[in-house]
Amino acid sequence: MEAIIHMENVNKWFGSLHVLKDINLDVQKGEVVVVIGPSGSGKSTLIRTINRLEEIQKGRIVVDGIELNRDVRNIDAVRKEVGMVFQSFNLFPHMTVLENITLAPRIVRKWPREKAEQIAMELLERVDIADQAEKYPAQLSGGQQQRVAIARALAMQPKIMLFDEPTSALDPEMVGEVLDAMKELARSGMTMLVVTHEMGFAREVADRVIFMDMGEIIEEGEPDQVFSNPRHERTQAFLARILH
Amino acid sequence: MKAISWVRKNLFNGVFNSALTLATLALLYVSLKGILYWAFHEAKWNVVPDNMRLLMVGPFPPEEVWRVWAMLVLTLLVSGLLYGSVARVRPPSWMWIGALVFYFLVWPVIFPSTRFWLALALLALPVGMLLGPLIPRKWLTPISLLALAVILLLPTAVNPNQWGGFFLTILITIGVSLMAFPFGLLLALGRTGKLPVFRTLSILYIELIRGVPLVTVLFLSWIMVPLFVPEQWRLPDLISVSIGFSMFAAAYLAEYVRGGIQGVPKGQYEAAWALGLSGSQSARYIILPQAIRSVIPALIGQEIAIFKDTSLVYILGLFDLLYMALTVTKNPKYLGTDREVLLFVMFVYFAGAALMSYASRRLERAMGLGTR
Repeated sequence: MEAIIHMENVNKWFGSLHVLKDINLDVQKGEVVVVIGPSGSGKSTLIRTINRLEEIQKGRIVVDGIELNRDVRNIDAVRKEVGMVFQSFNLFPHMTVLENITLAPRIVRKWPREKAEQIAMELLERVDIADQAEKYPAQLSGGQQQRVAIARALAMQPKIMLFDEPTSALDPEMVGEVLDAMKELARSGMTMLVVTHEMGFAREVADRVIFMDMGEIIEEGEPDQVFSNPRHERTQAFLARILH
Repeated sequence: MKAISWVRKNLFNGVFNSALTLATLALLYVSLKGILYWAFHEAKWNVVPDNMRLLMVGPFPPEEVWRVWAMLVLTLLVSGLLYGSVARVRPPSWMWIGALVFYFLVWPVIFPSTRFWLALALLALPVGMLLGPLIPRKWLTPISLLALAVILLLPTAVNPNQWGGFFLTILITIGVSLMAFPFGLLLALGRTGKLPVFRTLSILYIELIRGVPLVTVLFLSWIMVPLFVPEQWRLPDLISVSIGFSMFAAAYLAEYVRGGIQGVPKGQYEAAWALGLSGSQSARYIILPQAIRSVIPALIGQEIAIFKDTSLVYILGLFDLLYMALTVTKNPKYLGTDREVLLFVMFVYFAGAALMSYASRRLERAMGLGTR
């Protein structure tokens, strides 16, 4: 079966800093992959290369059969199929929740307003905040904002969802509601790549866990194997630090 | 009693402070006495109402002045309509009372023929606000467009060389703003954008313009613009000067907008790109709306500067408010009234600027600046 994300010898430098070193990664359709690792290990950079928020200097990335290269049309095509949720939500503060969600479908997918709004309301229903549709982002709690951000990404009906530390900026009591929305999404068969420190989430829904350190993939495997029986000592040291 | 204790506590607490207070009062008395005596006894204020038409519309033919009035009334009426329809508020009582008080205050000094128009103009705004909510929303755009067309057509029956006074000042302000804003926006986008050619050109243009005085730009455009236009369409000076003025103002507007653009967090761009928006779509829907919103105070400040700087066109022989004021003082009948007339001109500019900054504060509050 052809992988929906194919990364081959991917290398990236920030100036002289080598942040991604020979990354090889295949993600299958419907797979949920969780990326863990210490800060500065390159895990956020890794998923940001998949929708070309970060350019790579060497190697190859193919998303859903589209080669990611300098061609703007290819980049646009990939971004249409890949949704992203950010650590800091990045909702558009000058638009209501409903406008945030319907903007891209209306101007990128060229849907009529009625269709975009109908689908937006269904998504808000799904993440359980349909009653906030007319509010502005600043009027919502962090957990609600992040759920709106998930709905906004889903509104483009992407084939792949990227999550870049989606719960790291949240107050502890709001982490659960966002994780619940993500779990529901994982069960629905969405292909997901998640950078997170939530090991419970990884254990529960990940098909595969990837441990990164210093720009390299050190270890990967099923969650049970990586968490209970890590092979590499760097993985062991990292897990010992965060699991206590 | 509160006032007395305040005075004792703040002005007469101790010998030295009491002495200072008395000295200040004496100084104020001496300096203000002359001014107040002049203002109430010597000043020939009648020069202002006597020449009101000249100051307001300059050499505009008197029998055509109704056109200017009609433009004013229509503008106020439509503004009231739109505001009333969007904000759904009834005109506040101070608007009616203010209009009434103003009307009776100026009643004795205005010509009978203008009393009718002044009454209409004062009523137009509150009446528009009353009617606004009654009109179906889908009619608003056609009504506004029709009114705009009429407003634009009204003065065309008079040769632009005969437009003048405060009317001309306002026209230049509006015209320059309308031309400068889109141009400034383009320059700001060019300067913050990725394309090196546009970036370099924008930087060159902005820095060049900001490095030269407005007067030189006005003079140059007055001489140069006609050279680029075929002989047979002789442009009125008004147009060539306004073009130069707009090019000048655009450079400043561009820098304010650039400040706003650079204040938009990087995450906003990333969110827009991740959703598949193109560069120009991100700019139009995400970046510019936020950038402009955050610099509205600065933009209105620039708008006020444009309004006040229009007074410079008098040196090019355009009959703006200042030119007309200086003309009035040269009339042998009103010799020696420079102070009265200039103070009136300052008052008109001040009132206009105050109105604009009041509108700016309302706009900021309505848009919830600083709260979201």
